Amino acid sequence: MKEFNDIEDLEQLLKPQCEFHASDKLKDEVIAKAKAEVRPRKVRLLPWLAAACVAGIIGLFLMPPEPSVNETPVVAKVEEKVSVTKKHETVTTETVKREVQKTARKKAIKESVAKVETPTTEEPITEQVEPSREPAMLSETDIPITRPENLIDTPEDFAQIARLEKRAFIDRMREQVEIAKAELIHETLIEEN
Amino acid sequence: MIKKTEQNIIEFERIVGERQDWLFRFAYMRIGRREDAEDLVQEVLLRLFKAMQKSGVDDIERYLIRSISNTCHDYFRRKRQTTIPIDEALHITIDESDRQIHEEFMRINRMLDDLPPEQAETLRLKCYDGLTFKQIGELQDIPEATVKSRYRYAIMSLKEKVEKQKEYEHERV
Repeated sequence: MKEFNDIEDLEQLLKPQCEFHASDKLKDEVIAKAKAEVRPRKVRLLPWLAAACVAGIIGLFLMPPEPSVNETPVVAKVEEKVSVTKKHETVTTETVKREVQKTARKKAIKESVAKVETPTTEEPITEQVEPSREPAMLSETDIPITRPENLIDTPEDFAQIARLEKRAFIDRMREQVEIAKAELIHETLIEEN
Repeated sequence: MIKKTEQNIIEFERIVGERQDWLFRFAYMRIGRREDAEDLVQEVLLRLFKAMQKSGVDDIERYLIRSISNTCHDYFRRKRQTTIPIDEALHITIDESDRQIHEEFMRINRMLDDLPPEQAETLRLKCYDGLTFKQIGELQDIPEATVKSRYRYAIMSLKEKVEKQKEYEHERV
């Protein structure tokens, strides 16, 4: 019984002997903070707008400078070169077309002459012209005009243009001779008939 | 949603009114500093409110006990301590208004100072905070029987200490 009393006394000793009170402001603070938690947040646009403006200004200052006036003639030059090459190409295609027409006409004349059994010297000419002219033709893949170094005409290019002109002239002359011959033959045949 | 929030605030105000002193005492008896103890109480109460808003709390009493206990553990973990040493507690500066509660804190800590920490904590929870053995077991994640045995050992040790003290005083007289 003595021991039991001792334990009870001990427990009594371990119980709170005075009142504990949290400070008055604690409750108000906690409730205010809790209410602030549930209050819908205001979207603050001003800081973001200010940040965007600053970023824009910084961007303007850091942007690379626009191309200066000195570089403009270079662009004009390039355009000129492009037009030159285009002319070049048209010349070549025209000559090719002409060549095709010529050969067609020659074939017709040959057929008519063959009927009359007159020897002609045209065959070797056509054979020589066709294969020799093919490598001289320039296609777009041969001249990548986007490269600036390809836009400058070299002396070789000029020589090639001159060669093509001469060849075209000779062909035209030959053609006229052939036509004259054919007409003569035709006239003689008519006269004989 | 708004209605639920309003209900939660009313309920929360009631809980704060009823339980803040108990929570403060719990924290103060372990920490011994008013400011820190009140900070912990505030932390616990706000956490409870957030939980109420989020998904609701089934057992508020249990939630508060566990929460304040864990918060006190975290406080000491941050300070790399388990309890306030008695020598350190003597040098804590206190206001005149807090003298009584600080003496109470000193009295209990002096009594439990020689006990192993887990036994001292069991005595604090049982006698001072008024928890049942079951609640202590749930809080510390140990069987109720273990709590009871810890309590018994603690009381026996404390009794021996008190008897020795009485004998010493008797001899002096």
